[in-house]
Amino acid sequence: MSVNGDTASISGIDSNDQQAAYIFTRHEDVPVLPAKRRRGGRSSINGLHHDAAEIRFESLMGGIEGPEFVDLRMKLYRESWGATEGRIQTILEAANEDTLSKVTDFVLNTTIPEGMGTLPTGFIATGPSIASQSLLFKQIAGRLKSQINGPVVTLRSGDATNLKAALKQIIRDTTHQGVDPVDDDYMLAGHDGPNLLNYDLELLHRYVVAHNSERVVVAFQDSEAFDPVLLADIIKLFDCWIDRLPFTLLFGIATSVELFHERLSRAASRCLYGTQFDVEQTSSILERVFQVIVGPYVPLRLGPNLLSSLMARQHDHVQSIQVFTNSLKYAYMFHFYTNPLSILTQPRKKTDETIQSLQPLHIQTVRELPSFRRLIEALIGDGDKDRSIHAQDMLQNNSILLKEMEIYSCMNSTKLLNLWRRMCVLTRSNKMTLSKIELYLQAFKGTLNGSDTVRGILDSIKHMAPGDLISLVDTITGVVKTGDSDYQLEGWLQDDQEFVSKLQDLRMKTLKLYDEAKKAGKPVRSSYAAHHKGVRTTVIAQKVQLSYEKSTLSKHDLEFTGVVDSLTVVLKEYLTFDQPQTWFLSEVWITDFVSPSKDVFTPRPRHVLENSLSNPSDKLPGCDPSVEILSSSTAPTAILYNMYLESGSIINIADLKTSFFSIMEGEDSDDLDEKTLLMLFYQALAELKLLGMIKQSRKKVDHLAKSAWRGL
Amino acid sequence: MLSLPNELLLSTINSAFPCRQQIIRSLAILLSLKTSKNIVLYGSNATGKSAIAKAVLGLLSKSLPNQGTTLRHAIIRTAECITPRHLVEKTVRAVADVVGYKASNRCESTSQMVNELEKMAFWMQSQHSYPSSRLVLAFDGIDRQSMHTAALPALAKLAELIPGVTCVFIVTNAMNGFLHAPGVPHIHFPSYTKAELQQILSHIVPTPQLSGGEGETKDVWFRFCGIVWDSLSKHSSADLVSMRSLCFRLWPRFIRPILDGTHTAKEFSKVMVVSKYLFQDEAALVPSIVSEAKIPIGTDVPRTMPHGIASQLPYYSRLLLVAAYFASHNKPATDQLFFMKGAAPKRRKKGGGTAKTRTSISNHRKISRKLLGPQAFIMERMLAIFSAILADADGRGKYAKGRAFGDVAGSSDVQMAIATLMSLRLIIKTSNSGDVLEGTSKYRVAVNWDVIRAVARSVGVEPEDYLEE
Amino acid sequence: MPKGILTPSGRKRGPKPRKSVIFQDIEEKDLGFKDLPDYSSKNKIADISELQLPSDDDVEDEEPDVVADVENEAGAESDESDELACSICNSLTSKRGNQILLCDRCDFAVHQQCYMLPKVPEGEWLCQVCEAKREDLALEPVTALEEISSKLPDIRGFEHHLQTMQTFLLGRLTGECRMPLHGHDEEMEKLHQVVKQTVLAGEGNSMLVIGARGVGKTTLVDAVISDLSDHRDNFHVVRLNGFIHTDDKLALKDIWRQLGREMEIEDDSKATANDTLQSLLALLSHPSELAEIDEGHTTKSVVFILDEFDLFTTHPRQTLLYNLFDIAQARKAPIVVLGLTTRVDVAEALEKRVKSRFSHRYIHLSLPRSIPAFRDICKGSLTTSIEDLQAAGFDVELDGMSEFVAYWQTMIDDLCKEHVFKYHLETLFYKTKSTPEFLTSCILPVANLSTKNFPLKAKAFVASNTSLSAPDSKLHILQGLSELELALLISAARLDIILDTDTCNFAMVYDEYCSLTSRHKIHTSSSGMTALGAGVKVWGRDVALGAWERLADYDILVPAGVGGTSARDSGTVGRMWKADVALEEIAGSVSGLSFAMAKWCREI
Repeated sequence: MSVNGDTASISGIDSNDQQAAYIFTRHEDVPVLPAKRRRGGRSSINGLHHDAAEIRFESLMGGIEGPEFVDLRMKLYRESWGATEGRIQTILEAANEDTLSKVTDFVLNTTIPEGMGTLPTGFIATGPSIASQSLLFKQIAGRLKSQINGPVVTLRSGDATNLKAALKQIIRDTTHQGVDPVDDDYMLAGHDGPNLLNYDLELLHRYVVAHNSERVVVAFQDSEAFDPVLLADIIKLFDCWIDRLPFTLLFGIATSVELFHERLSRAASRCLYGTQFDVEQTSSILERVFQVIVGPYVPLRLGPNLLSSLMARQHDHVQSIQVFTNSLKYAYMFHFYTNPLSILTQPRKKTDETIQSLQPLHIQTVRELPSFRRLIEALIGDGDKDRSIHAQDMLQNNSILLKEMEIYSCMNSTKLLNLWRRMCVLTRSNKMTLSKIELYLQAFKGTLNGSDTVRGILDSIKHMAPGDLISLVDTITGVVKTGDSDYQLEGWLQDDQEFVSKLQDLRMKTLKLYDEAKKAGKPVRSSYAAHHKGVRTTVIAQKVQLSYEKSTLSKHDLEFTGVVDSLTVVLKEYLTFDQPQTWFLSEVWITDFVSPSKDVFTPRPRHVLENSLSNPSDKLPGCDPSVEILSSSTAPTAILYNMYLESGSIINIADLKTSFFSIMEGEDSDDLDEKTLLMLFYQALAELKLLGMIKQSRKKVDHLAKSAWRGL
Repeated sequence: MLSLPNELLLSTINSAFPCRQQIIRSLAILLSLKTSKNIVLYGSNATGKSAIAKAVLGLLSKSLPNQGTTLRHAIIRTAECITPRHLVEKTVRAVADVVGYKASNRCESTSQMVNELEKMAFWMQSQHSYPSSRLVLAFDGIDRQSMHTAALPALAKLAELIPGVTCVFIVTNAMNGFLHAPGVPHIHFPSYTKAELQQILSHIVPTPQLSGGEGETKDVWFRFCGIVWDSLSKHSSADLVSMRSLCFRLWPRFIRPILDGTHTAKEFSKVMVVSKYLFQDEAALVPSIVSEAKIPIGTDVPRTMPHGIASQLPYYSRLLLVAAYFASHNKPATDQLFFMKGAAPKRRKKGGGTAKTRTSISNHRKISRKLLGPQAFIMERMLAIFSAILADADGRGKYAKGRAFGDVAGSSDVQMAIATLMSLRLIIKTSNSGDVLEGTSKYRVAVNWDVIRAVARSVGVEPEDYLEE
Repeated sequence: MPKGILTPSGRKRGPKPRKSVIFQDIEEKDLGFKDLPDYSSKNKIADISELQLPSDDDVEDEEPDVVADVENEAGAESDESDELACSICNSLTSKRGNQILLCDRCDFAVHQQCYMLPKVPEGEWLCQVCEAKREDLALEPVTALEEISSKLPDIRGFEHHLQTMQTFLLGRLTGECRMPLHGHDEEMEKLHQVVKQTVLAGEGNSMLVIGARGVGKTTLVDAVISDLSDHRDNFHVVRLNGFIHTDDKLALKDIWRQLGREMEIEDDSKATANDTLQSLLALLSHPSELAEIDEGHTTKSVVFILDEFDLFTTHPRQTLLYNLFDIAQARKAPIVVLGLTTRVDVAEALEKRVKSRFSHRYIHLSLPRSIPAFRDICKGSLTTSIEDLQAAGFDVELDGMSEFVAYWQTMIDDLCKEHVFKYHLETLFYKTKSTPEFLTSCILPVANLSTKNFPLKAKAFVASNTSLSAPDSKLHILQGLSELELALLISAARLDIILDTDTCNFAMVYDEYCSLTSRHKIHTSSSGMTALGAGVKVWGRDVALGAWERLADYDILVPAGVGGTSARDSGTVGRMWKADVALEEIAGSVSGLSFAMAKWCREI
């Protein structure tokens, strides 16, 4: 808005009838302002026409980065983003599949029982994200056109401002859907007599007769945005025609059908016979999209801070996949544009080649990486001799560093894979479904180790009966063997041999105990489970109970307890996650900068404006913060604004002017004559006006009314 | 010579429309007089005006020829005409179709219509061998659209200007002299009484039928209709159509015990008692626009619960909506009391919710503010209230807890949220002037208290604390 | 048994109700009734006493509930034997031989003598009106018009004559062929002069004919035109109607068309309004040009008949009027402009320049002033003469025709003697004074005549189920309303009074409704009338909203101006409405109103 504000103020000023202020000019560039603006406009125009080839990333590292790397970064960006975007798109299209089929089915065969209204109507409850509606309705229209015999028209509130316009739109769209437009035009022109008015539904009727259509589907995309009265009129009109035109209505409902019903007049809603269709909500789609963007194999990942801020925005401000995708894209772009090392996010082989061909400055950058520093510290940390020597080599000898980089980059991928596998196991071994996004965040924040989730699982194991235990073990081993589609993992048996084997023989033991116990006819339970059978109130009672339990524990129980303990141990030491950001070279494939995307996507124009006006010294390098604001040295607009802040709700222009003059002329009234001051005053005033802060007051003549409140 | 419609023919219509003999007869007489000009049929909804007119006209145009005159009629459903010009064109077209005349040029105005009709009338006279041939134009529901009422006097003049033309106006509400023509015969269609309604409905055989066959079904149906009238229709909507649909809706549930065999059709009173609830809940009177048979989507998808916006809208949008409600329902003067920083909740406890909006009757009474509906407010005020309640709201329903309020204020997201609320018509812009997000343009909230309460609770705001009265 | 003064009647009536009733009808009756009392006090001849019937009787019809109510709230149980006034002479004296009788149905009280009853009748006695009502109620609707009548005069070809007569009369009744004007001879003469001057002497003239609807303006003009029919071929007639020709452009086109049709000028539809006007002016103002358009014609005068003249004054700049008047005044061409309008002050609507060119000639046609005059007109409209029939092109040579006409004459005469018929006439007179209304009311009775149902009886006119009269107000809708709708309407009407803003929105009304109903419920349950209380149910908001919309749909609620743009958005619920019926109207116009609602209508 600040930018807009400037251009607007320019346009405003020469549209303002205050040209007089510009006859006398202090800066010579003022008169050419319009020309400038036009030029700017043109450039912005053909800015659109830039085709992708011309756009090149800037060369980084002070321009020393070789062009091949620049192009490589760009290429990588294009590839990786393209892939991700493609996957997201497929998900989005798949998400509506269910709804689509149901709607089509509904349109094709609905019969209305006696006395239930006349117009078959589908209410498609797309959540409050209006942006997603257009895609959905495009899909619906496409589907229906292919499935049913008859026209399909989608109305947006923009097209239909009044009844006439709506009807025109409907008829136009219908007739242009015809397989043979020429014939249609002829027919619609009406071979008998003068042709009909272009909003006469008779036209539609002729069309329907000519193509003997079974259905006429009219879809109201954003039905809430329609004027309810208009909607009622349309519905009633359709009701009049229902005997000749087989209408079917579809409404996109963003809020709720109840609200919609409440707004619609009873007379109209009596005509409707509706069915509600629910569209998959944004949140669940988001989960799916998320799984796509953070697989074990994607080249780039979002860091926890960035991701959580994005999620927060999704949840608190705008619920729409489109927005999320945009910010995601921006994150990709930002990473590849700014990070010279992003060239290392490539499949293994390529990465090695690249690593070999790195420029010295790249290596320098690597050495400046925090993760590198962490690595070195780790090496030196324990006073081991050769490790410190190794560290020294890495610091001094490029070749060694490069070798290390190769090693680490491949090690990272394996570590990452393991991380994912463990997360997968964690999810599976857990009873309740936990949000993968949460899991991911915890893992990357490094808080997953010994987190509630893990502990919860371990505790639950302790209280398990043998049967549950066995099933749990089976699931885990199953995952390890076969893998998991959600995490895009296939089985990793060969990697985690010993883990599985441990699990297996534990399972064997349990099974044995289980059978024996069954023979004995006495259930096996671990001591932990035994504890919590009865709840004893007093401490004494619990002690008694405890001892009693101990005494009554059979040997099977004791063995089983042992098994449980060992299983817990095994799982505990398997479910260890270490934080990816700590790994060397993690910066290459993790982007975690919040502020840039914040600045781009959620600017706070008003806040900024008010700040900069109330104390310009923050923004304008010229003026020094020491002098108080109300002095001639500060920008006139700022002065005026500060006066504005001090004044009441209605400002007399004359008073304002005098005080303004007094300030400007305050100490050094050397070169400022009446005209200049007046010009400055008017300019400042106009700018305030265009910032929407003041306007002509209706209450009193030659007064200004404050229209903006402070600090909102 | 004078030719009255013969009773035999009329009797067929009489059987089709019970309890209307007299009216049908008068109408038939008036229509069959070849000199009659304008006729007005008036009566409230669903009293059979259009249907009877249609039937009589159809009958006459069939039967009159053998009495030496021919009658052509065109019925213009004015509900389908959305502009006056549309009406004109439709009329001409309809007549042309009836007469079989090739209408050449299009008509913009009434006078052109008159000329066209005149031509056609003459043409028709010339065509037919009959001594006299007449044209009857029936304008159905012409008073329903306000835009057509201007055309009424002109239409009433048609019959005078063009020989052999009769105009029938079917209206709900015949205001005295609304045709600006004196002495126009009006035929009143009185709304049906209970007995008549019952008789008419008894001609229908409802589905599903009872096991006892049609006779039994009709018997039960008849008495059932009577009860429906007494318990529901009489009070809520006393016209035929709504009552019929009501009966159809209730019938299956009413006879379920009979079909299940728990009761026989004979013991009507018992069935009555069993299904008493049907006649007590008024849900039957306001059928939801969504039919009961909802198609459930896969279980994992969260269904939209009633007033789903409470759960679906983003956090800040919800807060904004609540703020808008407060701004609409509080006097600006009281804002300081309710929203000033550090104003204690106790001071806010005042009046306490909606419990006591029932104002007692007295000869001079203040209209309680709640009844007056939402008032307009300016955007800035709403934003201020928003920030106030944002500071007070506990972070319930928020993604990341404990984020400073500062970085939300004036951020583009808030403005976008407002725009969204507006496009959903949860907030309505009342002042035409001014930019959409301009500080001084006026708005009004468009959701009722129940929704707001749900929304407010979902974001951890106690709405009663902030509302006066 | 006859109701003497001393026999207690079922219905008590105190002094107050009578007052309120009188008060009521003074309020409601129009001038026709206002001047009534002194009129009647002057001289008490029979038919004037009749003249009072309708008034009181209307009251009886309209106000019984109010009467009952007032008395209930007053609680004044007064014995009827005091102050039971004869509703004709308003005197209270009831002595033997001239007792005050009470109608057994409507408790209409009247002196024997005032009502011309020589002796107290035996058995049940009904006043004339109830008598008539009773009869047509007694009749089965279909057979109503087919009871065999005894005395058919033996006139040859009776049936044929009857049909002839019916056809002729019906033509007249439906306004197809104009009925002769009564008592407007001098106006006619005036108009005739003017038109004649133009047609024969070639003067330009302009004149306004002013009169209420249905008084016969058009008839007058037509009569004049037809009088001049022997000169028909040297003048044209152009008829314009303000309703149809809504702007000058259309009017011009149509003038052109009509002239064109008469003088075979090809009308080019493509011509713009302006040059149509030009050529028209040329055509009119320089008649010599007519010569080449079609020779043989000498200059012809044109008679412009502007119906609904006042609407033409609303056209922008009154171009048409200006030009016409200009031509007429400047004697450019022999044209006469006849403006027909109902507005007396129409001349004020003319612009100055137009006004200055208008020769301020007016003809005022007035409605029949007195009942006798009105009756004569009506009678004349039902009777006819051989000549008229002949003129209408019927074959009057058939034998028995003349007898039949004569017979018919007598029949109409004694029809007019019947009380009920008089009553019918007077009702019409007080309501509208318009002859067309009467004619319309005659259509069915005349049409229903047949050999089986011959002599035209008065009761055929008052038979309510066949009346073709227009409704007086939109109150007739109230009868069809459901109880909830009525209750809401009453609440709205109450609000108008209680909080003296005449607008209300749904929330307010529903609130009022709820409070009323719940209070009534409490009351009934407390007084143990739970049986009644069952009927009392506070309907939910949604149901009420539906009812509210129906009310709005029937225009019983009219949208109030306030609300402005918000009204558009908030539909029926949010916007402000205005109840179009007053509280006191409701109770009267709904029969079978429940006691509770009647109470709500009565007391605030």
